[in-house]
Parts: sequence; structure tokens; C-alpha cells
Amino acid sequence: MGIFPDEVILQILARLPVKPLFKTKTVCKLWYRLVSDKYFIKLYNEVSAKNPMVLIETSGSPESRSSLVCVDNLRGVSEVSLDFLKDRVKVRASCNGLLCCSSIPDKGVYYVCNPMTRDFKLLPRCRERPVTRFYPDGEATLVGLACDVSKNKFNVVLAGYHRTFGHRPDGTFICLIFDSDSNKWKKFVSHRDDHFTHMNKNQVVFVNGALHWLTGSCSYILALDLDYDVWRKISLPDEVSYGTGNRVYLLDSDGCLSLIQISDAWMNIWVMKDYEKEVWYMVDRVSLRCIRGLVPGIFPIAQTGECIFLATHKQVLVYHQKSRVWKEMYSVKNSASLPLWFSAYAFRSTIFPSD
Amino acid sequence: MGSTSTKIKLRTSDQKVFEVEKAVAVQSQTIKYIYENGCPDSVIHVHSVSGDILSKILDYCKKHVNSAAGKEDISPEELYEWDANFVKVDQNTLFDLILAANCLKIESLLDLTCQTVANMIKGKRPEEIRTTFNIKNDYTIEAEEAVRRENKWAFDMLGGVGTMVIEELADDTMSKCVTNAKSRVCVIAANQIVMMRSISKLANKKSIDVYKQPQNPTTPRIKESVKQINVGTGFIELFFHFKCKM
Repeated sequence: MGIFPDEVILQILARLPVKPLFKTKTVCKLWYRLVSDKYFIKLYNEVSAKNPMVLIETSGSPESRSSLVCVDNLRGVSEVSLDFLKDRVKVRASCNGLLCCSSIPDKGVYYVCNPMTRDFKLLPRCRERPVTRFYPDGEATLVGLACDVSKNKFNVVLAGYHRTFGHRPDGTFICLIFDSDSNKWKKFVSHRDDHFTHMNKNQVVFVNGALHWLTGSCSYILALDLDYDVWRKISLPDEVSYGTGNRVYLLDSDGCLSLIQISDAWMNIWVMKDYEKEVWYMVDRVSLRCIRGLVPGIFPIAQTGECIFLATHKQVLVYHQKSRVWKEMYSVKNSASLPLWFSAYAFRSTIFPSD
Repeated sequence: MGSTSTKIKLRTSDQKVFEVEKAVAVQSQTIKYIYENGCPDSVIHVHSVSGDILSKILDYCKKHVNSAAGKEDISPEELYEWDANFVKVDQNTLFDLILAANCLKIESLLDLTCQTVANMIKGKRPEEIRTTFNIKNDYTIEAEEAVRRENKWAFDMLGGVGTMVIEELADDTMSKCVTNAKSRVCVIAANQIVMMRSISKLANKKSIDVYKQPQNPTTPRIKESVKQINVGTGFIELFFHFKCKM
């Protein structure tokens, strides 16, 4: 007779990292079934949502090309490998435990994978020619991944300016959307005149059924509603729009849109608690005095209501809101590498029912 | 005001009676429900919890209530340390605490104790987990092999030169990762390889000895050599030259 009732076993297993969790499948037949059970998967994902992680693509030696560094509060620093994709890839987006990666040798080839469970899907090629005729870089300006954990489906969005052959660019904005349920791409066209910085492109947030990007001018957030295929604008809080000399970043905070505004001495955190009414609340104002020297090169990457992960050129720091303590979680010695913030993504560990 | 000094009486399975402040007792959702729906004057029976365990649990609840109410001057860091020490008990007591926290519905204590047990089994082999939880193995040898093959990646160790092995902290018999200004003890368990060192000592060494736990606990431990150590800010990168399968 086992020591614990099933509900206690579930609570214990829900707190294991994915790899040890899958090892427990061999303990007994009940545990094998538990791990694939819908209720357990929901519990597991709820527990892991409280543990924000940062994944960093390191530009290390060729052998470690397909591995990522993972930093989080529970386990510290670990390594995650994408070698199961059997391709050299670049991470383009991260959402709710899935990553969207593009193939480096094969342009136009995209994968969506769960780096923890090593499940992956090679997306069918989009038959639309604009995939290779995006302007100006030849690839999509915006890449978004919308992973809906409760519905066990995802969308991939490739959006960018298109220039018809032989013509000047005219603001035509092509949007290609892949739906995992139908396994198909669809396209729609609109007109836009926004530009996006590197961080704007990296920091796409999926909440309330829409993908959100901050625009380069920081005048508004551009949102793509995936249910209705429409683009709309969401305004920023007045203090952020009219503040000068501040850097602004768009993040997710426990399922809500969040803006982090960094000036020389302060970090203001705004959260849109009421999405319907588009109302912003300033939830915290953090003094940056203790990390004064790092402020010019610091970028927020991931957060929950309890802590914020930030990256500099060579370090990953975490700020705990309750205790108001800063901690260094990870640092690199090799200064010749790309800055850590350049390819750092918010992440969390999620498992999905196998279908 | 009466409500702040209201006391509730609790009787345990071994007939011990505890009188506690209401604010402390209602940390347990079960006790809260009984108190609010039953007769507040009589004693509440907590049938499945012994006096010793209830005493510990009440200490936990009191500490957390006082810290939240600001009655005790304790920082979140200090409370975290207090919690870490609270669960440094023998396995039987820990398991009793889990069962009691589950039955009394004390969410934060259940979270703390379950995380502690999860950390304990992280690096264990399936047969060790079965022993810990007193679970019967109902797999045939072939069926178990099939499950292993199906999830091969979960059982393989990362190996080879240049591999970072920092995962699967198993700290049932070792100290946990403790952060304080003066020193850190870092425990690294990579499946069967377990080491414990203080980081300040490691910083001066070029190489360290790593012992591999063999399958049979009575055979001598096998020494592996570690090629290189990079001591970061509390996290150690180790470059092993080995291949190991669970």
C-alpha cells in the first residue's frame, strides 16, 4: 500500500523538472498514466507558470551551437539542447513553453518545439511567395508564436512589409498565419507604417487571444487579434508616451500585458490589469541605485508578480519584489560573445498531452 | 476586541488538546470550514494528525501569520530560511507533515513539503523512488524496458567533453543550496554522481574528485576525473569526460 494518496503524489510530481518527471513513468503503471492525465498536466502547468525562466542562445563554440542556457529561480543554470531538431536553428519566438525556430541553412523552414519534452513539429512550407520577398531583410519583420495551453494549439505569425517586384515599397504589410489545428497557412494584407527595434521584435506577448508588439516609436502597442485577423493599436499610459529619455519594454506578467520603463535611476512597472477597458496600473517603482553601473545596458526579459529577470551584456539578474533584493543568477566570462540580452527569451516549462 | 484573541481547541488522534489563536488555526482551510460551520465552542477533532505533528504545524502557521501581520520583524529572506530549516527533518516526519498539510488543507505548507520531496526524488532511480514511497512495481521486465525506450532521452546522461552538467539537484541527504554572503554550499547531483563542496574551496582548485555511485552500494565508489572547473557566481560549470547511462 503506497504511503501517499494519489492527490499528494500529483502535487509532488507537479514540482519535478520535466526530465525527472518523465523518468518516473517507469516507477509503476499508475504513475505512467498520471503523467499523461489531463488534470495532472493542467496542475503541472499551473505550478510551473509560477517559475519564470530565461532562455539564452549562446554564441559559443560550434559544438554547443544548438544548445541554450536556461536560467530560473528553482534550478539556477542549466543547459537545454535543440539537437533533436537535427538542423541548425535560430530561436525566433517563445510562448508558454514552446519555441518557434527558423532553420539557418534553409530559409523559410520553421519549427515549433517544446525544448523540455523534445516534441517538435516541422511547419509545412508556406506556398505564398512573399515568404522570400519580405522587405527589407528578405525575411519577416515580426515573428510571433501564440501558444494556447488550454486549447492545446498554437499559431505562428510571420508579418512584414512586402515589395512587389520592380516597384518601390508601398507600405503593404503581409501577414501569414499558421494554425496548428488546420495545419495550414493563411494570408491577409493591410497597410502599416511602423518600424520595430531589435528588442521590439524579440519581445512579442501573447495574452487574451492576441499577439502584441511595441512599436519603435513607443507610441503604441500593435496587437494582432488571432480570432478576427485584425490589427489594432493599444495606447500606452500617458506618463510613458510623454516621458522622454526612457527606454520601454513590453513583457507578460502573469497573463497580463506589462510595460517596463527604465530611466537612469528608476524602473517603473505597468500592468494592464483590465484588458477590456485598456487601463494601465503602475504596480511598482523600483530604485536602480544598487545596480547603477549596469543600468545603461540592462534589459528586462521575463517577469511574474513576484520577480523580474533582466539581462545585461554578460549577466542575468533577478529582482525579487517582496524582499527588494537583486541577485546575479548567471554570468559569462567571455566578453567576445554577443550580449546576453540580444537573444534572451522569456520561457516556462510546460507539458502538453501527447496526441 | 474579542475576535483577535479568540482561541480554538484542537484535539489530535492521540488525545492531546491544543488551544490556539483563531488566526493561526484558520490557516488550515479544513479547520476554518469546521469552525465557521460547526459549533465554535466545542473542540475540533483532527483525527488523522498526532500531537507531535500538530505541534510542528502550529509552529509553522504561527510563524507565517505573525510575519504576514508584521508582528514579527522577519524579512522574506529570513522566512524562506526558516521554512528551509523547518523541513530539515527525518523522512517519516516529513511524510507525516505532508499528509497532515493535505488533510488540513494548508496550501503553503503543502507546497513547501511537496517541493522538498520533489527535490529529494529528482536524482533517484525508479527503484529508489519505489522504496521511498512504498510502491509496488507492477511492470513486467519487458514492459518497463519498453517505457524506458519510449522515453530514452529522459534516461540518457549528457556526456562527453565540453558538456555542462548542472541539473537534477538531489538533496535528500545533503545540504541544499544555501545563499548567504559568506559562503555557499552547492550540491550537484547528476544522476549517480554526487559531490558536495564549498565554493570558496573550489575556487582554489584546478580539479576535483568526483565519485560515481555504483549500482551496488557495497562495491567501492569509482573515481572519475574532472577536466576543468569554471566557478561562476555560485554556479559551477564542470566539464566531464565520461558517458553514463541510468
